[in-house]
Amino acid sequence: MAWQDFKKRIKRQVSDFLEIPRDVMLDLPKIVLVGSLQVFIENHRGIVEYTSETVRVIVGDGEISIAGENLSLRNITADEIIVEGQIKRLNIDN
Amino acid sequence: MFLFRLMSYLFGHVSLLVQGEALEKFINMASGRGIYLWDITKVGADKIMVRVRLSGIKPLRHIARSTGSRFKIESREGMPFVFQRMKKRKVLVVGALIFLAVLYMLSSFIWFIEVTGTSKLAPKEVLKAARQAGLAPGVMKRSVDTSAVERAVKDRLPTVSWVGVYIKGTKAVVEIVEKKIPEGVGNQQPAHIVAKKAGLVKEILVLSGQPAVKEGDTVVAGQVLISGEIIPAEKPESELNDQMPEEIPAPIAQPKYVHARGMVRARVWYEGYGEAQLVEKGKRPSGKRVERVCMKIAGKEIILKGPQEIPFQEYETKQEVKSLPKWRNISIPVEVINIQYLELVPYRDQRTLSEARKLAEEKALSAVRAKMPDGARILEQRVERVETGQEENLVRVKVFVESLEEIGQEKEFNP
Repeated sequence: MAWQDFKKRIKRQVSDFLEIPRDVMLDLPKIVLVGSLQVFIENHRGIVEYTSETVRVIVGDGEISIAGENLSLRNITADEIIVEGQIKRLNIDN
Repeated sequence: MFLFRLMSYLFGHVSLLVQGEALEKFINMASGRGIYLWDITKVGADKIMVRVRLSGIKPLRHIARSTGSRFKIESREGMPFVFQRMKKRKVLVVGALIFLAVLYMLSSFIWFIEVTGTSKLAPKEVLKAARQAGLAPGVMKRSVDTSAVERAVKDRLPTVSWVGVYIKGTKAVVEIVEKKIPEGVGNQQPAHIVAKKAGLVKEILVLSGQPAVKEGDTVVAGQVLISGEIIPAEKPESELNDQMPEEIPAPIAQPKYVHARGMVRARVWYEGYGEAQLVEKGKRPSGKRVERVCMKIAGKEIILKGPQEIPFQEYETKQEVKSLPKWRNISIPVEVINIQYLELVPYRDQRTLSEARKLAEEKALSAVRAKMPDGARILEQRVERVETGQEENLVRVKVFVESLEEIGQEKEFNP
């Protein structure tokens, strides 16, 4: 684990130094929220749960869970998801 | 996104109702394999609706089998399905094709003929001439040779000086320009020639009619110069007696009425007055100008271009309003106003007496010239200063002009 942490730290320092966007370098998700209507998640690893109240999506090394009402997946491709509906909460769990 | 929707429509897409336990896995596998899914909605505890392109259905079967779910096609959309439906309704397709064919066929005929530019000529006559030249409602557009029709119509109608025929859709427009026949020629209505204005007759040339004045006569406006009424000269009594010894009553001389023609030139006098100030004060444009374009929307003005403040102390405005055309009773309360501000500067001109006199003379002369007809020849002009007897800032001048001009004017009369 220590090796992993060290690698991550090096990567962050390199990306800071070279001004490379972190989401590219560190394999992080990019999340765009449009009001409470739409969530756009880029760089995901697949969905874990989908009901009309919750959507859970695996990203990098964590999970994003969206809670709301009438949620639907407007769009899903290998690396992006658009969730639409009445969004109430968005949790990022590492 | 729109492009994507269009492609989906062209290639066809379906709504699937997927039923199973591991629906998330189903979605993940599909997206992982590059099958594009959209509009995923949960419809029941273990049911989702998914949209997918037609090309994605086959791989989805494998995924469904491996995730233990089933799917059913709910609805089909897109061009491939439209074609399928068309195959079942051949008559409808045939009808649509026939409709297009008929529309195309009908549009290759001329259905209307419009005649423009006629004033004296009746459009009916033009239409008749065009029909004889092969242009009539119901003929094929291809069979109409517009330049031949133009020539034929022009030959058939002698009062037409130019004909233009062009075809616009299913309408043929025949443009006519009529010959302008000068008025008065061939007019046999009895007429006198009367004086337009007072003058002294200098020369008189009679083409028809009887002269009523002599050279050197003074005439007043309205006086008959050449009479259209010719009273036959009475033959001397003696001559008559010589020829016809028997007493035959002389026939009552019947006057003959003609349309008098001729030229009467006379000397005419004019008088003009002009004045000029020795010291003139006023305002005149300096040549500087600013332009402002405003848009007026429902009473509010918005400056589109130009300064907020006018940089001139005194100015004149020229306004040009452009508004949208009115349609029926609805007028759109939007107009564009273009205002030009012309700067005015005060000036003070000082003239010497001779300069002022010259200016006044010019003014007086131009006032006279305005009264004179074209072709008048100035024989003599005399300038006279009007003295008011008191010291003032004005030079007043009177100009007397003697000109030689045509004063005859036709005036019809009823004998």
